[in-house]
Amino acid sequence: MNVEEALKKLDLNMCYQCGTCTGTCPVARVESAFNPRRLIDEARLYGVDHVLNKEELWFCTECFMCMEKCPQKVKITEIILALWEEAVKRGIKIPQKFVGLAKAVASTGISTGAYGGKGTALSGMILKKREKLGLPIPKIKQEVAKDIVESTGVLEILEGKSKEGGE
Amino acid sequence: MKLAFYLGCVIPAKLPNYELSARKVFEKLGVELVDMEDFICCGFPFELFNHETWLKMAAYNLALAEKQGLNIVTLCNGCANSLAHANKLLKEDSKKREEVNEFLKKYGLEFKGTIEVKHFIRVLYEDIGLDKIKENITKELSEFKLATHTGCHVVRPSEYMDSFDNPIKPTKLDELVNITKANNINYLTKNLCCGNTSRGLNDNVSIELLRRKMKDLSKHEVDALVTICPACYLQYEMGQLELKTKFKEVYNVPVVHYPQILGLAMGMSAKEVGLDMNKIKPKKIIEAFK
Ligand code: SF4
Ligand code: SF4
Repeated sequence: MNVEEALKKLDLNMCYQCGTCTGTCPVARVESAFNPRRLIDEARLYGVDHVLNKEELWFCTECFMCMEKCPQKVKITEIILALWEEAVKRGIKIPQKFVGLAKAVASTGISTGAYGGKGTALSGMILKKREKLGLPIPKIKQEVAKDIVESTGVLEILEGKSKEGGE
Repeated sequence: MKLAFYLGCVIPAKLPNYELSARKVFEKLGVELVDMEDFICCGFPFELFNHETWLKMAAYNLALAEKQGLNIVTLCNGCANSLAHANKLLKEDSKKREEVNEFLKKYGLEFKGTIEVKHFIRVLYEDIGLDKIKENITKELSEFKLATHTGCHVVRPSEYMDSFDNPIKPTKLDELVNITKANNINYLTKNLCCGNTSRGLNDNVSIELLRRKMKDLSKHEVDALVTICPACYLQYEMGQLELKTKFKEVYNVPVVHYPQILGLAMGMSAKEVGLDMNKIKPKKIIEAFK
């Protein structure tokens, strides 16, 4: 399924431009350049290529508030996610955070970078602290995570080594 | 009650105070947590840019718990969302299920769709119940002023989260705080997203969302802000430290995990619920529960 079909399935064309999404969006309140209603409109009027190149596309913070409130049940947040995935696939924008995450998960099975930090495994220091507190040592299966990352080729996509998905 | 305990990534690595207090509270309420072995990342961060990776990771963890025959409980909004979403999708979409099962075969696993995934506040609310929790409360927290932050992914999209709570104005965490008799305040930015996801994508957005909430909360002089997610907690705690060093802005809003608060109300000490590990100290609370 190409991205246009995917967006149709997420009810892109059901939007009647009421603006409820923008009115409810926390980011629109702090960044006037961001307007999910307009993003949805431009995606269908001018096509996917047009919106993929917009910097504002990346302003969404994935709170799902717009999607919850949309009277037309347009899957707005999921549309934005599908556009992010497409932009990454085409190499238009590859946030470093994603690269770090995929590498960390492949090499350790987990990622601890929720606060923009480096994705590291459970270090000796952490394990010692856990022991002191009487917390068990987590058993993580790194090989499976590596397997998954390899099977989907997500690292190659992030490193621009895959042409998959390009139109 | 016996549950498969899915720890996720951030909690075991960074938030022993959360894990410690949650384990103690569950123990006291008679819930047996069986730590999931051989787990991996829940896949949540991959949902942002690679659905296939997300779904495979989530499915693997789900199938692990299915093999144990246990429902999953997690302390993280992101893990709860990722696993519950994948669980629903795979239960409904036989084609996706077949694809995933083809992949899981080599680990001797299969997604069958026999279990449920719940965030721990849902377990507390639905499976244990406010009445039973109340029976265990021995100390009222009426002298403390608290504010709650439920966060986004534990309630939205409501479609994946079984409409457990009101998705626009959630109330379940408030009910859980209110049984401790704490003075739980209402505030303007209560339902504002923490903005953690925007870290590394648009730091301005992330910081501005954080700042709005902190500005609002500092007016109320709360003894602590109560969270139920590692990402929200870190955004507010580490974020305030960042605002201080980068912008010389000081708000001093202590952030605590809900089971720390509940633990205190159940008679535990500040140390027992790991409050000494919180970076912005809820001084008044620590003092009272020495
Ligand atoms: S809320 Fe829904 S229908 Fe209204 S503008 Fe936004 S996407 Fe369109
Ligand atoms: S999901 Fe994104 S677009 Fe929708 S309300 Fe939240 S930040 Fe705004």
